[in-house]
Amino acid sequence: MPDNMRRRTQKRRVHSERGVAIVIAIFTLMLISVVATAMILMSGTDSAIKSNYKSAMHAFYDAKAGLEEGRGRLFWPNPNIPNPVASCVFPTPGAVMPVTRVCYIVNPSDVNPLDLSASNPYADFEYKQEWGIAVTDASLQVQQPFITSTSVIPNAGVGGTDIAGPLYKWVRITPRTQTSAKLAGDVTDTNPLFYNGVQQLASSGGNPVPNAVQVLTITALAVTPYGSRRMVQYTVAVSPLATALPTFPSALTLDGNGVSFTGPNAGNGNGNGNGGGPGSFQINGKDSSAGPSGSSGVPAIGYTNSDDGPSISTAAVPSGNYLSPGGTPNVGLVSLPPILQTPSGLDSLVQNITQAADLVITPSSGTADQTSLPSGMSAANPMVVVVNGNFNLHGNGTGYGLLLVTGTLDYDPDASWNGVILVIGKGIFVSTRNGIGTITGAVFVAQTHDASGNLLSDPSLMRSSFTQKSGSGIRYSSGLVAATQALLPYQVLSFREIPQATP
Amino acid sequence: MEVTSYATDMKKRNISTSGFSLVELLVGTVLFTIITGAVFSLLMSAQLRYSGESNVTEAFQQANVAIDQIVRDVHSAGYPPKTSLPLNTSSDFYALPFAWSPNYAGIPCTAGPGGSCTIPGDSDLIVEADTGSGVKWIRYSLQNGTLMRGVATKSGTDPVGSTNANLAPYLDNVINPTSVPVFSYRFDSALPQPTSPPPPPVSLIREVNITLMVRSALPDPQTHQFRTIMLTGQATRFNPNQ
Repeated sequence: MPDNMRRRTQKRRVHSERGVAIVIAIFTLMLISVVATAMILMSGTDSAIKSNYKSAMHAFYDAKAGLEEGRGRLFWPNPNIPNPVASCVFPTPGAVMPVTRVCYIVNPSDVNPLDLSASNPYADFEYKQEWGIAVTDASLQVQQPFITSTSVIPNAGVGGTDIAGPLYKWVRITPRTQTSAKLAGDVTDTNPLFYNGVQQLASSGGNPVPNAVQVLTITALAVTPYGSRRMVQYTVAVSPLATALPTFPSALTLDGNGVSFTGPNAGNGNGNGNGGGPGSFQINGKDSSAGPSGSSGVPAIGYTNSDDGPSISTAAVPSGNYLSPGGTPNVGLVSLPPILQTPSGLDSLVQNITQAADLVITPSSGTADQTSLPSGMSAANPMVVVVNGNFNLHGNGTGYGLLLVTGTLDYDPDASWNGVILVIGKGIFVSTRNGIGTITGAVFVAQTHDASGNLLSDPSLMRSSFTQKSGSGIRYSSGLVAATQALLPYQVLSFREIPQATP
Repeated sequence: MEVTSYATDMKKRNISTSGFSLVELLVGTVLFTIITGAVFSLLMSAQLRYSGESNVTEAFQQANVAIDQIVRDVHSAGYPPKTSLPLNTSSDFYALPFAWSPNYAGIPCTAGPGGSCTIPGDSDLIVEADTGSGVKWIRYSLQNGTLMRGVATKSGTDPVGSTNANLAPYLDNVINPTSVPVFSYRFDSALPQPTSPPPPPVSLIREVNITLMVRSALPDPQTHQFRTIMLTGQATRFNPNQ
């Protein structure tokens, strides 16, 4: 047999065996593919579900970040830098935001909530739900161009790229009315709502309500790249302290019934630390911010229960140490807003301030001292400090800002404080040492808790106690009071989530 | 070419094209059986595992959805607050963050360990919130291994009775033991701190911690044991105290 014929025969035999291998291989591969596909589908479904959940949570916190940007930018403690948000919201500083006014913060800058076409995923249809008219209605004053978000940090990323902030799309700020809030009762009232520290109040004619601040609504929409949408809403008003005490009624205010006041008298210090007489101690209600004339100001000591007047007047001697502007009693009855007349109202004020504090000191031993104060505190950088316990304000330093003490404040008048001191809780201010320090601003003392720390059940049980034997006393300053008020941001009155079609 | 040689060659060619020998077939069949047996064994194992994991995944997803819904409800608890409305408005129109029992809407009972509340409790919670159609009582209650959810319009002073009628199964196979409460709470601090702290009142609940231990609906096909997952979540109330 020739070689070429033998090779052909052997080749055919090899071909026949290769066919079996291919069949087996294909069948095996098919089975493995089925298993692999099932596993991929299973894990893919799990991943998709988890991804959806993550995206929905992401959208919620993005939207919440938008609310906080709106709230934060309304509050602008530095008066020397223009505030575009406040300028957008209020026609002029201190004015009421008209009900027809609408302000947007957009993120990024090309987002247009006014484009109500179906193709715009960021269209603001919610406005119509609240106000009954589309946000594009000609009667509205939508402030344009829109304010851009500050959440993007430009050129800070790798290679000079921008660092994206939270993915909210827009934040809208509007006034609040009973109609827009869909509140019970008179839902046809379209006048702005105001807040007096206890209640939101209807206004009339677009005029502000006395001793109350305007309520604003902040709404934020977030949409993630995966399509999750969340919309949330705050109602806000300026800080509770500013609401309750836009100007303090007296240099030293003793809130409650049966309050006690003890000042220096003969033999109990002279204000210069040497002892011997009342000396330079003063509680002075003349406004130090108004210049030396002292033509404006408040009573030196204010009390809230007329029955306490005689005992305080008897203790506040010599009367020359207790000064007030002409026509204003040195020691007089003052009225306080409702929130400051009850233990629970005062307690809520304390909690609001605590939430906005730069530093909350909760001493493990029950008592903290001045060494716990933040080192960065200065005249240019006043702070809000809350002491949840007793506090010894000793030493020779000066504090700046708002000091809130819920326990006993032991004040050594070698120290000074520029700003406001609130002693709300046990309501005890005691100063038995000598010194020449001054508290410039205002002091407010109120008891809300009993000796065991339980909230008083009845306003009639509120006592407060002020004792100072030496030092230069207290000097009222409307300027420092106002500067302290500006340390506290807008407070949140309520929060809700507005359901969206795509969660 | 010789004739003999040609005939032999043709015979070989016929053999090569006539099929496999018996031995070849037997070997091939045995090999095929072994390989496919192994593959099917693998497939069966994967199928059982898939079935078991599906049960667990389903329980996980259902628990996840339940926690997400509880978190959303607690977020809006207390909306709208009483401060939003004119004085003397009926309490049906504003939301206290959480309803309580007993003595609703009197002085709130104390919650947490050692407290006097039955609701909110370890396995029962009633949120008050307006989510778009008036203030509702939204109740979650663990009953006989099922987390129930019921929503009722706030009216009157009986949140428990009102929601009882509307409770419906929301999450099955919840097996939290007594030592693992479904709901636990964190409170806003009372200021100043009491020297001997009593349990805080319901009105100070700020965070609701949720723990769900959920058993799979079917036993694992391989081990024939039920599998259990535990999910935790934390919900913060954003509305202020009232």
